[in-house]
Amino acid sequence: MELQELEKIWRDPAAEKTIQQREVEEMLRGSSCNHISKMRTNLFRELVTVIISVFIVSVVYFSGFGGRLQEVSWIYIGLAMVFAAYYFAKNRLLKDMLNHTGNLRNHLEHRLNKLEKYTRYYLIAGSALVPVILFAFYFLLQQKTIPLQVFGFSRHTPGFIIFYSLVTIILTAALYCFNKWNIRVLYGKHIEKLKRLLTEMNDV
Amino acid sequence: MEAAFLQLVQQHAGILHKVCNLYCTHPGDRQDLLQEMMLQLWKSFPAFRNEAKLSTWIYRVVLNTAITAFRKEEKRPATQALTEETILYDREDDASLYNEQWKMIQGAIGDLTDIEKAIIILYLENRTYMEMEDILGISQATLRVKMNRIKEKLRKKVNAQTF
Repeated sequence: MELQELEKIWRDPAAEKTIQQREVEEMLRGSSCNHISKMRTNLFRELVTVIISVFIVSVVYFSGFGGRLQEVSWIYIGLAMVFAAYYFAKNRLLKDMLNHTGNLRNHLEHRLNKLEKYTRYYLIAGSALVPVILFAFYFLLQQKTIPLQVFGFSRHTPGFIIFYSLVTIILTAALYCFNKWNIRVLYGKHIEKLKRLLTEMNDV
Repeated sequence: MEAAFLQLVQQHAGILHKVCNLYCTHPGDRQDLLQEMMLQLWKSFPAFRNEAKLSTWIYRVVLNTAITAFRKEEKRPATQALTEETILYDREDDASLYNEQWKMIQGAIGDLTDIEKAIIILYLENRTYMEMEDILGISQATLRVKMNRIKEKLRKKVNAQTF
């Protein structure tokens, strides 16, 4: 098909479709089906889950064990507060991604930049979780008079510290690898697509 | 604001449908994309302050949404055959002429990349290169080169179909 023929068909009034007020109202009543909106919904669900879980754990440790392990509750409350800050930072990034009013190049660059930042947050926060929790529990163990032996190491011996550090390093590395893989599965395709589109735009 | 928005959408309904048809072959995806465009236009409508031409703003929102929307279609084969089912509208009031014309347009433009589709849409909408630069953020010189390449692709396609 030659371009002139295409232009003729494109501009043919018969090719113009109308839209009724009822259809517009129905569409505006519906919810957005784009992935950013879904990501925001999932993020909010994560926040609710964390708040409920921390509330339950805190109640158990505050009221149980004769009140001797209240510090565990404070550790979890602290983590929940960090998660809340993480939630607001991620949510702000996602909200920023929904702005569609700039030109296409700016829109793609902006979205790519925010998405890469978002995945960095995910990777750092997700991987830092294990060492932060394990270190917090290590210091808690040192404060409490709990008789604890792991593989024959008493908690005050250098052997225990080495063993505990090794476990922390291995778990952190494993979580880092898992998060990296998960990010690639969840967002890799879209990041690649944005990069490909930008490369094509710059190509002469 | 609602009345103004409705009037705007009805005035530009043609381009919304055309963009949906070009970027999605599956009727379900087309409807999703149309709804997404409508929501994005509605959300950004209060912020529109006549800094850009109204048409420029609409093309920006519509094309940005079409190109960056994470469509379900991505999970389907990229070169899905254009069957009756995927081409035709499932609405009763669709004239067969409309479908025939769209079959021809999709046959010609369907294989272009997302960026090329955006360029040809604006070209067919009679936008100047200056407006196209404003909407896409691609320099006029690059747009001219790309437009020539698109014309060449269309010509090759015609030749391939002829022989």
